[in-house]
Amino acid sequence: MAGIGPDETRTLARLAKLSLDDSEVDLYGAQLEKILGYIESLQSVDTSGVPAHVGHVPEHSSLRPDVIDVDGDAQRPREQLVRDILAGVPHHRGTQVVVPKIKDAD
Amino acid sequence: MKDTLNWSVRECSARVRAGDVRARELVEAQLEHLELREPSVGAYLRVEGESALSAADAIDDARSAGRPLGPLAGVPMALKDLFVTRGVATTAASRMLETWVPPYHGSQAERMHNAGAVMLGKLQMDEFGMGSSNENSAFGAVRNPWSSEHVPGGSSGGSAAAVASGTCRFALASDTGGSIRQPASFCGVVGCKPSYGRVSRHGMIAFASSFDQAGPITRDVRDAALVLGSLAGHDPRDATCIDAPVPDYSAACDRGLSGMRVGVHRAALESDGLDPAVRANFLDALSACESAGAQLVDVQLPHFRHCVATYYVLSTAEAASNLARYDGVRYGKSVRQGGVVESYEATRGAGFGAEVKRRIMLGTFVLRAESYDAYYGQAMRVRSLIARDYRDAFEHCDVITSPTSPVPAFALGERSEDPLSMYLADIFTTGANLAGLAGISVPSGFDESRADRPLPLGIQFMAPRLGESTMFAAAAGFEATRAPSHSLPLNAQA
Repeated sequence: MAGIGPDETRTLARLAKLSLDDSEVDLYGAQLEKILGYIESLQSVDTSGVPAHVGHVPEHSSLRPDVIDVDGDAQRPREQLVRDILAGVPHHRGTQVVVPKIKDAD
Repeated sequence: MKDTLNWSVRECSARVRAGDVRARELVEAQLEHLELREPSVGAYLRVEGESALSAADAIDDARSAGRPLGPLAGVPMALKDLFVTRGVATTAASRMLETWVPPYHGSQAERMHNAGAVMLGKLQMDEFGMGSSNENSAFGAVRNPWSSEHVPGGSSGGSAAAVASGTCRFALASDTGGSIRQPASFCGVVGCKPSYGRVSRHGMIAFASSFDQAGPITRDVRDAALVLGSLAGHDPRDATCIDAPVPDYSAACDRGLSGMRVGVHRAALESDGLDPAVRANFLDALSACESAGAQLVDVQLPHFRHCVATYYVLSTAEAASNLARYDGVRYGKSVRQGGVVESYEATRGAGFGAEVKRRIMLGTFVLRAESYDAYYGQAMRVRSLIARDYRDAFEHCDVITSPTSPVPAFALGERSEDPLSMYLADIFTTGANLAGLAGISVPSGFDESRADRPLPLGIQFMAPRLGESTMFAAAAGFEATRAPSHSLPLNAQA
């Protein structure tokens, strides 16, 4: 049985890139412990020799030509498309997306 | 003005095409009703009245010019707010996407437009489709149109409540573990989840990609068949979308139940938590199926009791992966704080609600190296066994039936502090998603124990993959046996 203490909950939050406050750590820890206790029942199923389910693979893959065609809308001028996309980008300079700093200058 | 509110999707479209009514008249009447009824339900996140009227005018102009009209011409409808709509905010009911205006149309909005349907607005839901009560929206709860103290179900609670309260003629919704069928059952309407791959997922905000499917919520089975006919079909933009012809689902509705083998998994009726009123109603529904000429067949689903656990391991794993894209860099909410990791954590901590965080953490737990095989790997193997159980069962029957939900709609707040009890209510619906099957919920009666506010109940028919025609035949056949004891709550309760 998986025990979910505060340290474990903080580790999961770090792996999931979620900031949690202390009350959330306590709440989610207790709830996850209960949910994992229920999920534990799967361990009782005999799956020896059973392959993993790999999806409902279509009879024929639905491939398409590798060309840019945003929503099939060939009428929209490229400049307008760029403007529409950039309108949703939280931080940008000109047509460049500003990303958070990923390393120190030194 | 004609009393158009009681018209079915079929009647609206047929009359618009015949010129008996203008699309504008339909949309104006719908918006007028929406203004009166919507405040007591709260099904909409936004209403796009002006653009709906313009779209209706375009339909009327097309008719005047003698151009052909689509099968849904002029029908006022609405979309669950996870279907991407160009130029109209699409939030998935999350703070994370509160201000996002998509630069493109998803296939669902596009197909509805091409069929002539008129979009009135975007509908409430549990955040990113995660929930069974619609209480997990970042923008407030939805009330069940039959009883304002009860939930409408989820995650497509807004879609089901809008159809039941008559504020749209039909809605498109999505179903990952029961999110179309369960709210349809709670609200006394029809909800159809097609087979995995029957409908494109392009432009549907992802929750769990091997489970998600889009489908209609309607007032009756024939409307669902008509709408699915316009929604289904090959789309090169979704590699899991099946390239197979779309049968005439409306014609299938005429076949009925006569001679059909209806499978019943009786052991499931002994499940903990099955409400006595639901059980009694289901047994009565089985008798009705028999009276309509169906042959009841007992089927075995040996791994049925593991469906919910399997579903919650795999769907949360896929969600943890899918929702990693919300990092505050390319779109959506952004909190810049320190370096890149601090910014990701702050953005996601502020942007996601409690249920989404809980599921991302559960998914992260089952996917990490030390628990991967015991949890994720084991669930993938159990999923194979569950899919095999259904394959074997369909050797002996044409459809499998069950209650849609083990309980009628519960009270607002009743289960919100106990996520596990909420998850266990998915017992009858997750099997179709795990095995990629088709499923539909059809109103089957009412829990009359609440004399002042009877709550609707639903029966589910599941069919093999791409067996939608058989599913519609059974559902329409069953529907014909029922004379609803209460009319849809189109008007506000006293």
